[in-house]
Formats: sequence, C-alpha cells, structure tokens
Amino acid sequence: MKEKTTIKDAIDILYRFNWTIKIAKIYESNNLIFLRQIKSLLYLIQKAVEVDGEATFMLRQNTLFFNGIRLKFGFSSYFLLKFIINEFPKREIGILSFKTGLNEEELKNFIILFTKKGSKSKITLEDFLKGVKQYGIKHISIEKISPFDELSNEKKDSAKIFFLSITHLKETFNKQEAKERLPLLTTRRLMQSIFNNITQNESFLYGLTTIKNFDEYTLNHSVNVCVLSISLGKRIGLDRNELIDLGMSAFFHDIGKLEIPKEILLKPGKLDKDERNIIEKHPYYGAEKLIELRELSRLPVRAIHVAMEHHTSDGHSGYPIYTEKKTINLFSKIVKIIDFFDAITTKRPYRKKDFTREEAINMMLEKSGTEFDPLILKVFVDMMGTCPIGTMVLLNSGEIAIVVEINQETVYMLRPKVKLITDEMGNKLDGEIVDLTEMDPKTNKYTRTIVKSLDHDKYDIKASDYFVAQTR
Amino acid sequence: MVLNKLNKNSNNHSHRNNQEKNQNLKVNREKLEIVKEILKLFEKSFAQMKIFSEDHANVIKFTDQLYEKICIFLEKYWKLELGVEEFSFTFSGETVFTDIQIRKSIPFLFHKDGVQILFFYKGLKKEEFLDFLDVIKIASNLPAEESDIVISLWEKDFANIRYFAPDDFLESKIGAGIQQMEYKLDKNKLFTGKIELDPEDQKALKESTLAQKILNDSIEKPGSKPESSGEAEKSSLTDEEERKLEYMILSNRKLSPKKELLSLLVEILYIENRPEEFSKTMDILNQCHMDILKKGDLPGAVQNIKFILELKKSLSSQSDRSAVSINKFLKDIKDENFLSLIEDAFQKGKILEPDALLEYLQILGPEAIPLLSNLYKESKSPDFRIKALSLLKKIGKHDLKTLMNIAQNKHPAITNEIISILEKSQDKNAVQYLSNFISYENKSIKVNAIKALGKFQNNTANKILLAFLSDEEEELRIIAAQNLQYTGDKSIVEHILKVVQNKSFVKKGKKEKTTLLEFLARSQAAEAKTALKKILKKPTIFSHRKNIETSLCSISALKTAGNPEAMKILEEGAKSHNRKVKRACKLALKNSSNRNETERQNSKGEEKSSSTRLQ
Repeated sequence: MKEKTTIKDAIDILYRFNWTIKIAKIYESNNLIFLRQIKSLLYLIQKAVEVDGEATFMLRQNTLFFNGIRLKFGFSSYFLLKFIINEFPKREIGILSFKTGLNEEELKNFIILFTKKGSKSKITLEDFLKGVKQYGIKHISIEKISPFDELSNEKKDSAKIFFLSITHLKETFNKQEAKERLPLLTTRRLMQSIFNNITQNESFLYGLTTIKNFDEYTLNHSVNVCVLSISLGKRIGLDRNELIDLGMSAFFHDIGKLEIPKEILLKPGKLDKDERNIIEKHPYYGAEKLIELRELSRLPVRAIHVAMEHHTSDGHSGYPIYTEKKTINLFSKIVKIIDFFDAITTKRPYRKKDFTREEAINMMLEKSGTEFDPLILKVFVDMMGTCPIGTMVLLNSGEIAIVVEINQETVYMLRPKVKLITDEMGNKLDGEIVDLTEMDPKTNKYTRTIVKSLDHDKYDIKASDYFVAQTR
Repeated sequence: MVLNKLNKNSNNHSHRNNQEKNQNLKVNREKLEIVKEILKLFEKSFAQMKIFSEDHANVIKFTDQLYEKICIFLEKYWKLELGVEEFSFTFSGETVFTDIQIRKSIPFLFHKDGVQILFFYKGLKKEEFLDFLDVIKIASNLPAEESDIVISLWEKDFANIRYFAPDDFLESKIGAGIQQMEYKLDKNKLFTGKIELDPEDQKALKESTLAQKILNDSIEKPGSKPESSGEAEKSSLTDEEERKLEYMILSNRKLSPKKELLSLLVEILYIENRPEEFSKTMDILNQCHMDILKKGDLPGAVQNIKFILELKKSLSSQSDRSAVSINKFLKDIKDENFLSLIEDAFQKGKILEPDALLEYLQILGPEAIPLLSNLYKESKSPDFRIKALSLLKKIGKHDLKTLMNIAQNKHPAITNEIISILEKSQDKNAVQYLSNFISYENKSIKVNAIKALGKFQNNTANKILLAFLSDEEEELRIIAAQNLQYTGDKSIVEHILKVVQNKSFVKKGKKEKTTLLEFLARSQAAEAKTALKKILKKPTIFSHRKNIETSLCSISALKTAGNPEAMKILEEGAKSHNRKVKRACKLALKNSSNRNETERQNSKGEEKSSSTRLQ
C-alpha cells in the first residue's frame, strides 16, 4: 500500500484542478474535453482520498496545505499555487475538502459552480454553499476563510507599504549621510511586508511601480526595483529568506548615488566624459558604503554585490570592470534587469524620450545574452507579459484601457485583464476590469482584443493614477 | 390551545437554547482552564530555557510537558488562538495570562513588535515547537531595539504556528520627521473628459478587424490550447532552461558569502584611488580575513592573500598610502592574533583542507614557524606531520633564529628536523645554534646535533664537540669524539691529550678510549704521535691490566686511522716487551696490509672495467 500523499501528488491534483477550471470556462458541461478533464481530476482526487482518507486544500495566511502537506512556491508550481491563493479568497474559501464517495457528477457540478461568475468580483461563501446544496454535492465540504486572510487582501494596504518604503529609504539615506546608525531591522521587516503584499496583490503592486517621481527619482526607482526584483526572484524559485535578501539588495542598490553631486545626477542633457566617469563610480561607492554597514549583520552580503554589479554584465563589460573576479552574483543579474527596465521607462533629464514598458522589453530582448542573463530575462518577460501592467491599450471595441493583470498563460499573453478608462467614443470613465480572454458565447469570439498599445504621453495619461485611484 | 402549544414550543425551544448555552459555557470554561494551564507551563518552560541550555533535564521536562499539553488541546479543538496585549494573552476575549515585568514578559515580547494574535494549529510538530521556543529565547536575550520577533517568525515560516501582525505597526516605526511622498491625484480629471485618438491610432483601430482575424486564425484560436499538454502554462522556458536556472540558484546558494565578499573587496581595492577609502576597505578586508580564518576556510584565506599580493604588484607604482595599507595587512596576518585563530580552528577540527593550511603557512613564511610546530605537535595525522616537517624545512632555513625557538627537548622529531636544517645551512650562526643542544636531555637530539657538528669540520664545531666529551653518557661522548675533525687546530689535540693523559682516562670504557685515541691518530699531529707511542711503550710484562687495555685501544685506534704515521707507530709497537701489545700490533699491521692489498685489487678491477666500457 502506498504511503502518504506526496507534494508531487498534491501538485498533480492542483495542476489538473487548475486546468479543469480553465476548460470549464471555455466548454459546455457536456463537452467531451471537459468531461475527460473531470475524469482525470477525479482519478487523482480518489487516489489521494484512498491513501489519506480525504483530499483537502487549506489556505492559511497565504500558505497552501494539501492533506497537511505544506506546498511552497517553486519555479514550476508558481502559477498553480498562485491560482489557488487568488481564487479561494474570492469565494471566501479557506478549506476545500473532497471526501470518500465523491463521484463524477458531483465533481463536474462543483467545477461548474466554481467557474460561475458572480455579479461582483467577490462571491460570498454563502452564495457558493447555496449552489453546493442546490447541486446536491455531498462529498465536498467547504469552510470559510479566516478573517485574517481576507483582511490582508486590501489594495490600500499594499499602496501604504509602497509609499512607506519610499519614506523609509529617504529616512535611511538621511541617516547614512548623517553617519547615524541605519534602521536595518525595520528595512528587513518592510521587505517582509512587501513580500506578503506581492503574494496577495502582485499585479496591483506592479501597477504601483509605474509611479515615477521625478524629484525623488532614486528613492522611487529603488522601491520599484525592490518590488519587481522580489517578484522576479519569486518566479525563478528563490526561497522566502533569499527573497528578503534580494529585496534589501535591490532597495539599496543605488545607495552609492548619495556620493554623486546632484548637479551631475540631475543635469539636463548629455554628460561629458568627466561627469560620466564620476557617475560610473556610484556602484563601488555604494558597495563601500554597504560594507561599512555590514557589522550590523542585518544586511546581506549580496546587497554589496548588487550595489557593485548592477551595471556590469559579467564583470568585463559595463562598469566597473573586474580584475580578478570572474562572475557576477545571481542577485546582481536579477537587479540589473529590473534596474534597466525601470530606468529606461522613467523620464530622465538627460534623455529626450522615456520608453514605454513594451518598448523597454523589446529593447532588452535584443540585449539578451550580452547585457542580460538570457534565462532570467526570459522569466522577466513572462512576468511582465507582452503588454506589461500599466500599458495603455486600444481595444478593437474602440475603448481605451490600462493593463492591470497579466494572463500567466503564455499563449494568452496578449489577453491580459484591463481596466477600461474610456468608452468606445473616447469618453473617460471609471470602467470595470475586464478579462480579454472572455468570449462572446453567441459568436464564440473574443469580446475584446488589443489593437495596439498607446503612448501615454501623447494622451497625457499616467497609468499610475489608475492604480492609486483604487486605493482612494 | 394553539397559544398553549406555541408557548410549549417556545418553552421547549428556549429550554433547548439554554441547555446549549450552558453546554457552550461549560466547554468554554473548560477550554479557558486548559489554556491557562498551558500558559503557566509556557512561562515555567521559558524561565528554565533562559537559565539552562536546551539539553538540560529541566528544560527538556518542561518543554515536553508543554508540547504535550498544547497537542492535547489542538487535537480536541484544532486551533489555539491567543490574543496578544501589552502584558497579557487573551483567549476568547478573556485574559488568561499576565506578566507585567517587561524583561521577562512573554506577551510583551510579541506585543512590542506588533503581534496581535498568535495561532497554533493541529499538526504542530515537536521540532517546529522547539524552534518556536528558541526564537522567543533568542529575541528575549537581545536588547529590544535589536530584535524583532516578527522578523524571526517570518523567517522561520512555521507551518502550524502563525501570527497576525498588521503592517500598521511599521507606520509607527518609519518616517518620523520625514515628509511622506505625496501622490497628487485628480480623480475628476481621471474620469471625466474625452480622449481623442490621433489619426494614426484611429487607422490602427480600423484595421483591427483584419488583425484580429489573423490572430484568431493562428495562435489564439479558442479551444485549441486546452487539448495540448499544457506545458505552455508555466512559462516560456524549456525544460533544459528550467534545469539551468535551478542550477544557477543552487550554485548561488553554495557560494560562501565571506569568500564572495573578499573577492569583491579586492575588486574595490583595484578601483579605489582615494587613500582614505582604500585604507578603510583594507581594514574591512582584514576583518573578513579574520572571519574566514575563524571558520577554518584556509583555501579562502590562501586565495585572499594571493589576490592581495597580486594587487600589491599592480599598485606598486601607485599611491604610497595604498602600499602602506597593503603592507600593514600583510604584516598583520603574521601577527599572533591571526595565527591563534588558525590554531583554534585546527584544534576544533574546522580545517578540512590541511594542504591549504600548509600552503597558507608557506605564504606567511618564517613567522608561521611556531604555529607550524604547534600544529605538528597537535596533529594525529601521519600524513600531515610528514608534510608539516617538510614545510618546516622549506621555510625554516630562512630564519634559523625562529626555528631555534621551537626546538624542544620533548619534541625530538621537530628538533631533529631543525638540526638537519642547521646541518645543511650556510648560515654562519648554524654551528653556534647547535651548541644549544648540549644542555638537552633527549639522547637522539644530542646524537643528531653531534653528528651535524661533525659535518661542519671547523674549529667552532670542534670546540662545541669538545663540550659534548664531558656528557654524562658514554655513548654520546664516543659519538662526539668520533665526529671530531682535525683541522690543524692544535688546541683541540691539546684538549684531547689532556683527557688522555688524565689519570681517569684509564678508567673509561674501551670504546671511548679507542675513539679518543683514534682522533689523535687521525690528526697525525706531532704531539699526538708522541703520546700514542708513549702509550704503546708503557706496558711491561707486569703492567696493570688497565694500562694494557689502554695500549690495546691505542692499537685499535691506530689501525682504524690507517695512515702511514699510524703504521709506523704500530711497527714500533710490534717490538714492545708486552706480549699482548706486541701481538696486537702485529695483527693490526697484518690486517692493514691485507686491507691495503684488497683495496688495491678492487681499484685495479674498477679501472679495468671502466676502460672496457670506454672501448
């Protein structure tokens, strides 16, 4: 007899569950493809029930358990776990348990119920349970999510943490200049909060990274780089504590700029050779500053690497050029990608044009393998999507929208979730968020499709406004 | 009737409600009492943990009891949810534990960092629970401003112990006196007005129907994907790329942060041209070097020094102050503070690569000699000891003085190695150093020192050897005499003659007497010849046994010396009135002549064979 269910078994069920839900959204309940998926899912569930007596998913503070086994984010399971962590709270589900005796009909009805769209973005558990009762589903039990898991989903809180991070960096820089002790313990705690918020509101936080504060460029930029680095690190499979180290590293990556005169940093127009030389010293100035802090032991050594290496590709191109060292740190490779992306999508005094997120990604892809690590860049492109969050798009309906959530399936990269900001006549509105994978059942065609991305500047639109507006 | 029935129903209902309420109250009361007991035990365990180590019997006893009690509770009620107040824990809204002493209050430890609720869930593992207690212990031992229990709990990420600590807490910690960044948002402008598309975008919109058709016909045709394996779900990385990425992460985890930092520091030093900053970085490098030595990471230390030596070479033409910093570092690492770290790491078994250790010591040079000697003594590995001695030879020859400092009577292996280094040394002080061994007690050391002295063939060495002639041990005196080399210095011959002519000489053992007389015979000095002749002539028929013995020793010595002068004396001796002396002289002469003949034959044979080879 088989021993207890393994993590792999749990991931298999999750995978099949996820897939069945997607198919249920497309096909009718009597479609053979759908029924085949139900059969496969039922088989896996029954196997687990046979071994453990039940097949139970439990969501507790953003952590998913299956039959008591904790499922952690890994590179290949990232989207599956994310799916449950997003979908359960929407229906107020905390525990979903499949029991002995579950049959195909019950499972089919449950999946149909699960995919049913409510009038609001959130379906109450009460409504959901009514459906369960109505369908006569007896071998699936559901328990309500803990109020703490619900509360933590507020976008307002994510925005608060985002702005608090900028303030904290400013405070840290001030202390550094005054040669005071840095509050690194608070920084670490802040990173943990950013991590938690990324787990809960990843797309929204990406949206906030479209905030570009010209006056406090380094601060705003550093927080953007920090958020996106944690997110990228999470996708490539770094563990929690590594992600916090990565976040801190990204947070302080530009600390060396404190040593660069403001006249050079903010100089409009091209820098001359001497000025360029000075600005190119900021990586090792930063590294030196961080080295001096190391005694506080709250700063990861990798932060020093990142400060030193975020402008070099392999130590032999970019700056600084290494003499002995042959490689650059993984964290530096991650931050370098994000740093570049955020920098070129921000208006700078010395640059005539800032690039759209879409243009930036295309430009970066051209430098894959030379300037950027090709694998990490690939994951980054997947993460940002072909139409990154914050992109202003024109839909074939004539409506204009802002991308607010990427569709994680690579085949649907051009079909993200968007917030409508005008109607088809161009009248501005506080429109709903629509999923571009939605289809018109009558025509069996997509309801809306992106025609092209639009230039924000041309239409005087700031994508960040639409994200901040959700918190006010 | 109906009313009665209703009343009856209502009474029944309220009775049932009351019963349920009472039942609930009873359950709650029961739960409360158990929770109170758990927390009392928690306090006791914690107190024990603060005093004793984790393996102390009291700690084990209390923590076991505590874990057991919590598990029983969780088994029955699934979850234990404790509210955290400043100095209290609450359960179901009631205070169940209070401790107002800030220094030891457990609730305060959580409260100060913003924890509002603590959850323990069914399935709690013993290991997890002990780890949790450890987190509390560590946090409580740190000053309040240096600990944050939320950070530690987050890092541990316990599966069955969770907490609720809202982010609001961070607001109280961040930005005092700093103006927060204000995001100006005009909602009115955002949602009113109109966006007019420019002609280019309008054109694109018109053409979109065609574009959509192409898209629908190709990759996005609805329903085409679900039939696939679903691999495209995860990401656009191939399996091979996923593996490479995983490998990158694993490799990154294996990197030693200290080593990485060191190599980074070196790079900074290559770039940094501000002397003050250079010197600061060198100081940090110094500190890091200490850290890696503490860990016993000798390969890292070797690499580091090599980097610095390279750096020194490349900076030789640059700032003097930089060179001063580097030289200071290179001097510091030979300092006792650094060396003792290596010894400590060695004793604790932290040094896993002894070859790297030896390489490191070799780089340090003679300053590492005392440490090397200690490591040799401490090591139980024959292989390491052999290599250590070999290294000692290499680096010791450059600093005999330091080397002499580690010579010890009780460590003959090292001391003998030192003697062997001295023996081969060109240093003028080497002979003098060998005199140190006169006072040693270890016989093997003395023997080696004497033999080493014998190889020098100079007056100083001879004079030191004379001192050994007074050693208490006969064997050593004999070896000393054997190693005396006549260099024309009459004083040595005179010294030996004094010994030989002394009354006590006859009382010495045969071998010692022979050896001393042999020196005289070898010297061929006139005074020596006279003395030897006299010794041979002295015995008569009635001579004392001891005198005859001395004469016989003299014959043996002359025979061994084998020089013409010795032969002459033997010939004279063959005429002695003493039969024993006479016979011994003849025999010695005969043996010598036989020996000479054999030697002549041998040398002829050798000449012949060499000429045959040439042909």
